[in-house]
Amino acid sequence: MSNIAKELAKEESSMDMTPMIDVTFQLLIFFMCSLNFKIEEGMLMSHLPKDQGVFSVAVKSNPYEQIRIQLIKSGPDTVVLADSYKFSESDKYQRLYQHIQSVLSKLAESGGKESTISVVIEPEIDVGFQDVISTLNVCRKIQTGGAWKNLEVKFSAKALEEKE
Amino acid sequence: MLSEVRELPQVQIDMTPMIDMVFNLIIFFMLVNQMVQVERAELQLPLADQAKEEKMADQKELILNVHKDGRVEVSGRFMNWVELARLLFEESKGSRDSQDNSSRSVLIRGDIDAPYKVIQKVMVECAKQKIYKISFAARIPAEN
Repeated sequence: MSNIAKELAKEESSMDMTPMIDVTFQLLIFFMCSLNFKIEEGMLMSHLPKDQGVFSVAVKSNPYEQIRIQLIKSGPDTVVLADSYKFSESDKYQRLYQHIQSVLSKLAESGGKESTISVVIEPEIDVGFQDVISTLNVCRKIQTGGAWKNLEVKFSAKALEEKE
Repeated sequence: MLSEVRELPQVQIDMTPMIDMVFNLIIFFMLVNQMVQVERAELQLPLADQAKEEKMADQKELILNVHKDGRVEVSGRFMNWVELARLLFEESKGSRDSQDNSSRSVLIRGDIDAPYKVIQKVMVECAKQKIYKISFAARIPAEN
């Protein structure tokens, strides 16, 4: 008995690793293929006004201190109203940018370069998010372009009042 | 010459390091796959050329996903307004400063067709819980 056991113990036993490696590679390839690569995302930083927003604040009427941008749903499209100007074509955001630039340059000529201008974005409740982001994008473009130092972007709470 | 070749010892490859590496890779892909899917819902984000690329520090933000049907999803779970308010309260509680404002930041990932009324309600809920740092996720258009 003991001799047989000794002989068995001396025998080299080797495990066949091939199936395990096969399965492991299958798993590796599966996880690699099913991986959703993170799409490069950007972000537009914003700040909510403190002590505002929840309770809406009366709108100032001076057009040089405030630029109101209304986004109105018109069928499948969105119409942009800035002061008394209406933009509805495909290049509406480019034209909105030009409009705000011209308002700011007029104000700069009259010597108000240091004053704070607030841009109030006032979308209707059913306007798509893309239009809101495009408007915010125009404001950000003006801020980063250095056309105006003190430019505040606010969101109007009118839409919520309409809803509630 | 032939006899010399026959006398060469058998060569064996040690498979252990390769198996270790492969298992490491499998575990890595399994974990990464799950995390990306849970936090960020599959949405069509709006385009904005002024959007800045996310930094590592920004990735600690609370992510709120707004679907085009108006549902709000957080970490893979759809929430109603009461649940969302409770979550935002919990998130802001530990990071209030002396003026009671929270330093917690929120990333709103809205679908391109998400109605603005839902996005605004999310913003109002954040403001109610003293969270004022908000950012919107957007796709940066590829440069032509």
